[in-house]
Amino acid sequence: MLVLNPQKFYFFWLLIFLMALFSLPSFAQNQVKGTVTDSSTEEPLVGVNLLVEGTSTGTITDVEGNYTIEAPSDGVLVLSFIGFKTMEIPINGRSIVDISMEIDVSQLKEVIVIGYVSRNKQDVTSSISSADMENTVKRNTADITESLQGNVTGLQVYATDKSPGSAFNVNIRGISSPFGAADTPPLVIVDGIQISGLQYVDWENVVGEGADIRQTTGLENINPNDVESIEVLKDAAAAAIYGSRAANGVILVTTKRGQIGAPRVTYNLTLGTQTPYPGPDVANTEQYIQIMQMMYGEDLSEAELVPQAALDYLDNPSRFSSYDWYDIVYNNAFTQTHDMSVSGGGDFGNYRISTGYKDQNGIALGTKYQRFNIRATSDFNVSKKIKIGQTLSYSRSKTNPEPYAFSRSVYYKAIAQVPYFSPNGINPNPENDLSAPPRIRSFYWGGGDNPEALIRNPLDYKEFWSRDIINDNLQANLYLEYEIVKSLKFKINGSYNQTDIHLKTRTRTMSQPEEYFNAEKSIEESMIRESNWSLDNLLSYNNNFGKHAVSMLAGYVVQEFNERNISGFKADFLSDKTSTLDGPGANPLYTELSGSTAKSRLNSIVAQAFYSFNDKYQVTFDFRRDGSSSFDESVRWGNFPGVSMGWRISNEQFWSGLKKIMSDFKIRAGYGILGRQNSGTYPPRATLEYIPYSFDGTLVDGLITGGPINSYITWEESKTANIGLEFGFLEDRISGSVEYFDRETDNLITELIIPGSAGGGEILTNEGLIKNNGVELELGYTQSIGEFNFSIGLNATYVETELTQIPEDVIYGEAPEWDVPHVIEIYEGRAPSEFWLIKTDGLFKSQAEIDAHVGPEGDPIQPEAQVGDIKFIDFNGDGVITTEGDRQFAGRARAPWDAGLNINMFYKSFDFTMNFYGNFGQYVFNGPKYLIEQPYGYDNFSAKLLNAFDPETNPDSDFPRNNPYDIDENWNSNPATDRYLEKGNFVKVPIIEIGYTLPKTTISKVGISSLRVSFIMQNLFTITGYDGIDPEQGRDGWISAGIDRGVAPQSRDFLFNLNISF
Amino acid sequence: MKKYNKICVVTLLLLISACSKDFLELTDPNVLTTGNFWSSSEDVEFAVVTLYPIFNSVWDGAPEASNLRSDAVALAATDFAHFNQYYTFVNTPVNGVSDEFWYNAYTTIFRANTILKEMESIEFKDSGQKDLLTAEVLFFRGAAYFRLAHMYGLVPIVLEPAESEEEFNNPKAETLEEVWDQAITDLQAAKAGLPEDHDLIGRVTKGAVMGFLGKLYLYRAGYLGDNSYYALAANELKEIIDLGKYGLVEEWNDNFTSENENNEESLYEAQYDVFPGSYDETQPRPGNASVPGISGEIVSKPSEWIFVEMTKELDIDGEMDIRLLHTLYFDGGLPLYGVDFVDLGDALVCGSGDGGDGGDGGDGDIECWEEDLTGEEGFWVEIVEEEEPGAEITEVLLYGCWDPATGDEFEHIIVTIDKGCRLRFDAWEEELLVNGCDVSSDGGNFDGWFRKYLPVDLNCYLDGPAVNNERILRYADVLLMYAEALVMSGGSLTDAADVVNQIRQRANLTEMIFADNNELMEEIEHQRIMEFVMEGTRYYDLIRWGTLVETLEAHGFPDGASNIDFDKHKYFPIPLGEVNSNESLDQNPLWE
Repeated sequence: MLVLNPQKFYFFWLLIFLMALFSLPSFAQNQVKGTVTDSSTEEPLVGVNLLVEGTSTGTITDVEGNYTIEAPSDGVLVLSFIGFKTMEIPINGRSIVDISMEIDVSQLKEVIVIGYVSRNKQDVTSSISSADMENTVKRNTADITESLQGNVTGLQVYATDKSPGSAFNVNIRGISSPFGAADTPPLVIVDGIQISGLQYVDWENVVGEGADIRQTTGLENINPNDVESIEVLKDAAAAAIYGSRAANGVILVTTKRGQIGAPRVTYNLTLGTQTPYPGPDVANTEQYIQIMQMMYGEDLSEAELVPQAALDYLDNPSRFSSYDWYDIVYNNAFTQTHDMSVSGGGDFGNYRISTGYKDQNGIALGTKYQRFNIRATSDFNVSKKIKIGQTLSYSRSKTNPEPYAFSRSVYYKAIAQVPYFSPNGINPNPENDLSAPPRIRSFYWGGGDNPEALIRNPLDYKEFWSRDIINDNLQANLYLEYEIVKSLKFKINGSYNQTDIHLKTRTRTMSQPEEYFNAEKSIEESMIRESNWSLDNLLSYNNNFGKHAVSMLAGYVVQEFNERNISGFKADFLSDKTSTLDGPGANPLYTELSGSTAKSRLNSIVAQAFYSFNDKYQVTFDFRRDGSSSFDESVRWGNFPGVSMGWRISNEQFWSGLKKIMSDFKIRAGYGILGRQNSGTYPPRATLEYIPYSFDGTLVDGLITGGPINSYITWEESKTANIGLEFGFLEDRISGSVEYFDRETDNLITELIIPGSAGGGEILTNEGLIKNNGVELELGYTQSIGEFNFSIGLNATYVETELTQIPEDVIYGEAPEWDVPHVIEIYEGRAPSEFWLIKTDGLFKSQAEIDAHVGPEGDPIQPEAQVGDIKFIDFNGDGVITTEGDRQFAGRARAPWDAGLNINMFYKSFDFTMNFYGNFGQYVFNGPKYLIEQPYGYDNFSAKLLNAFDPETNPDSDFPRNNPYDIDENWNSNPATDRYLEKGNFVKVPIIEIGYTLPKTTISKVGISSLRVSFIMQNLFTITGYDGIDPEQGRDGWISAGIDRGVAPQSRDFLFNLNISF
Repeated sequence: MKKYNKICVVTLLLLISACSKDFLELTDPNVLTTGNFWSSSEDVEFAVVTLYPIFNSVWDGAPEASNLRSDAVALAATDFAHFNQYYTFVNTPVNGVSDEFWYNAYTTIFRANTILKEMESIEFKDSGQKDLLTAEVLFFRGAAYFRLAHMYGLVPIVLEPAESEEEFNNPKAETLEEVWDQAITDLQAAKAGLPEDHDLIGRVTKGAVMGFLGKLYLYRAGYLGDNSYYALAANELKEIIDLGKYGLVEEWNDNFTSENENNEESLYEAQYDVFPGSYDETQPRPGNASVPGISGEIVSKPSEWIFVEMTKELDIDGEMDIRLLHTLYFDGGLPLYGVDFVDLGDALVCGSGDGGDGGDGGDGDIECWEEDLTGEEGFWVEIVEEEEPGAEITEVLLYGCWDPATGDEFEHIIVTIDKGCRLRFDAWEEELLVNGCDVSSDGGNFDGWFRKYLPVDLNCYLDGPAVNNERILRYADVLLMYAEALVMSGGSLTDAADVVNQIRQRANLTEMIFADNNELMEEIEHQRIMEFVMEGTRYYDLIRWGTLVETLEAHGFPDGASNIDFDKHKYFPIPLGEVNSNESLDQNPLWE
């Protein structure tokens, strides 16, 4: 069902109005007709822009290359078409003007944005990846970041969870920051505006880490349909122009601008449904009781730890139903996207206005994401020398995240919910009527010995708890470009980016008292604003002198970054209906108010010089000098140089013989230094602590200076060396590149702990070193056979990271966390985030095997074990199994390999797209499995427990015997072993699309210039050996990467797309 | 020429945005920077105030840690693994329960050192004020070193504030004595400089310093086995008595409520307070009492032994010792907020009683009643005859409660017998629930909770923190320490007996005559128990007397006792974080 909110229509009318404004009526004139053809083939050219010079009157050629236009008889027609030379043809009183256009060889060179300026791709000497935009836009993701998965070499994109509105994490060539800043996003520049975004994440929901505002790329606020190109600056030589902000890499986004021609309106519609993947196989009510009986024996009444419901079930099974909670919580969800744009251009310049609306319901109950975008860009040729242009973009999104579920994700609550529990919650239950459904209360906390205590109905959370996250983003930019003399241009560019998050969380009265929620009827409201502005003054020079090509850039850049937040909390309001903090009755003791601001500034000088000789030898120098307000004056300034060189061997004389086979061959190498300011917003300064004290009721102010500080904290430095080969075979039908990079990030800002005896606390130091090196490969193949065209693109990245020097190892293995134990450890000299676990060696199948499993003294290692128990490996050989001694390296949590494969085919009017994306070499700790495969607690069990080992009935099973609560003390009841660690390799198919473009002859009659329909399947299947619902478990952070904590799973989507242009 | 003009315009534009140095000079508006702090005597006054809250947590900051290891305490819950380890003496340096003392003591010392150093360059208009503040600061530093000396043994002595990385790694002192000596030096200087009274109630006075000094001498004698310090302790404590400033309050419970704070019995008191509307600026007391529904997570409850110990002696009127009644909440004891002890587990939820009227709550509250069955025949007579042959029943009371919310109803009967203890019966099941007389029954049967330090009004933990001051050093302790010092140093036994009887007299007990030193010492120990349950002294008393293992074993803690290695457990492990961060410091070898 397609529903447009009337409020959204308001913007629609605004658009219509704006369109009307731009397509000013032209005065009555002569009609000019003609045909436009390709001068080389004499074939008609379709879609050529024609414009009457000095007016906004324009048209485009039809499928036969014909055009008709009103023009004064002394006018001039301006023709433009991509790939052809722009032509100016005087009409000279003719009424029929046939024109043949010449191919523009220089335009065939792909131009890419490299930061402040653009350059022909073949002149680039550093490591820059461009996104395959066709595949990127087709994926129709809410956040364009997601569609970059597998589309950009060297870029690692991973989801934290798949709940609608969740932001993605992006790393370029691996992580290079110490613990806290591991997932700091790369620098993102959109049309010259430095953007960033914020996301509110409630880790408490999943790992008890509390809620936080997280920095994101900001790309989630951009409508993917507005994006023209995305470039990623990967090595330091490329990114040095961004100096101190570029250590995590740079992503440059260029949005679409208007093309010369009459107004062109495009409407794009996508709608469809998202369906949940099947959930894990958990027990139904009958099986649940059966498992209980396997654990405690047929007669459950004697067992201590059995819920009353199980006993009631045995009395009268007919009172009980069985519910599949995964199906109750996860449902098909509708999604729709509407985009509309109008664009055009002429002598005066060009314009483009677009708007978009996305509405995505989540498959998990209560989750939803909506976004509205509007974007306007224009460029004006004020005179031959002066050009002024602007970008203005606003977006608003609203996210309703998963309901808070007491330290457990909704996914986990769904799969572990006992199957006899009715979704309707409290049922009437006259005590004497045994035929009535059992009374099972939601939210009842009866204390430790009440088996029903832990049952909480996930559907009730939705009633009790709600959260709206509204995210507003504004991007604005205005530039003036002035050509001082030929080839020398001055550009002044001002930009502003602002992100506001408004968060509102409400709780209501619960159906039963719940001790974790002492704050019922509460409202928490926070507003966070992050903004930055910058002013670039750039002087650029471009010229060719025969075989010498020179290009230079010098500039001065000023930036300011601001952050402001205010947050309030009140609870115990009189009424559930209270919706603002001013509501009556709040208890003053719960009231909390906080707020803070932060500001920092950067002053920079940028410089770049490029020289190319005869298209064979190229060299680029980059330099940036940054001064930051976040460092003390004495260490404020940092210099960030980069140099890179290229040699196009295939342009050498001696290569001419080889050119038929190897059409292109280039070697390039570069080196550079980048910086990162990873300390606080302000330079470390000695501060006063306010510690008042009440002397017998008289409050007296107390102030004291804190411990020592290190004022000389300065830039972290990241040095990268990069070597690349570019090649093309058979007239570039096969093309590709191979790169090797080596990056060292040192002077990492880390915290040094001051001993308590010296006053305690921490002091910052510039210590620490992280090394990354790796290889990247890109391969492309295109072929046309008659009307059948196809192209295949493959990319792969391998990154090895070594924590050469880190502040301290992070060793866990002690107390398990609330639901999933600590299994990740971090050691100096090793890769980040490794799993260290006790390894197992199957089950004991006989007493003899138990007796044979002995330590150095010959004593059995697991003396209490019984046949059917797990055999643990005594790694340190001390004859006992302990978490301290027997954990060993079991696999890495971060994938070293990242790869994508994109296939596109065209046959006549049909097109077909299929993308693959994969991660290899990583392991995943299967948290949900760890929880539901234990014969432990009252939550539901995996159906696998039915297949548990039993010496008589099931002696061949590999699933350990049901030993509830480790009654027989087989060492430990809940060890985090490698039984739950699985290989996480996967290949996903983010998109399969079949499209059909209607013939122009048919549609042009009804005034439509193009019409395409397509059917899209997203995430149709995943190839993996992983036994959980989704092997892609890219959580942020170092100690939780690779742990499947049951976050919102992905859906399988079936979508219909319509794209129509007028 | 025209061209050059244009270039100039462009250059100008560049210069407009080129900014002065100030552009990059930003200061954090969210914090107070030191600025010109440490320029006047006022700043020193501000700084000295900050010693109070941190010092309070040196002596009281972790009530669980300071009270858990004692024969008065049983663990109420086993799911706090680190408390369990600590309680059963199987903790390792990783455990961390005792670490707060270390960190808080050194924070106190760091602040004191900073103030002392900064004071040197500040001009005081009134040199008397400078001496006074110096003395006050030295008290905190000395008392912090005293704490470190007896809790950790060999520790670093730091007398200057660390200002750079080179000064972070302080090595341990050479000998144990050095640490104690440092504490004595500081405290003696403080004593010399402080007045007997201070305008601001709650600030350190000479009496407080003398109290700590006396206590230090007594501890040093025990901890280092140097008996010469008993005489010093006796002298010091006698001086306090001679001041005539302090005395025992008439109502014993006035030492624990928010009603009668900073009274004549109090030498040093941690001030706790709450100011409505500025929650962050308050100093709520940390949890200590242990009644479910009132004080958050319940870690500890009274042991069987402490109940027996405290019921040993009835007062002059044949009533239970007032100190028992105010220390423990138990079946047959005083009601709490109008609610008699019942088996409801967490019956005492917020608002379940309305204070003092016998427990008739409003709608939805628990309703309770009481009936006198003395003289009536009943099943209890048979059971009493069986359990306590020859005992006379003096009183029979029936208590009942009903919780309308759950429909749960309880009735039980308390039978008091002439042997001085009470038996509790379930009125419906007709069985004996607890035998208060029989000490040989296995621990844990006693059902009750600690009530000492509970707020006067039912002020549930969740609704707001308790504000009653913690009496860190009170006159009763001075008297009993004095008596002990006299006995141990061979001083006047008459004087010793006299102060012990002062304590007894306040508790409405008969005057005692002591046959010998041992009897006197036994009574001192007994009175220390009666007075100071949950006041953080028992564990250290047992250590300085060297009787930890035997005592725990005899009092029903054989498991815990068997894990004790006295030399090792005499001191706590140095916090793991400290050993890791301080390159010059190794763990206490016994704890490695």
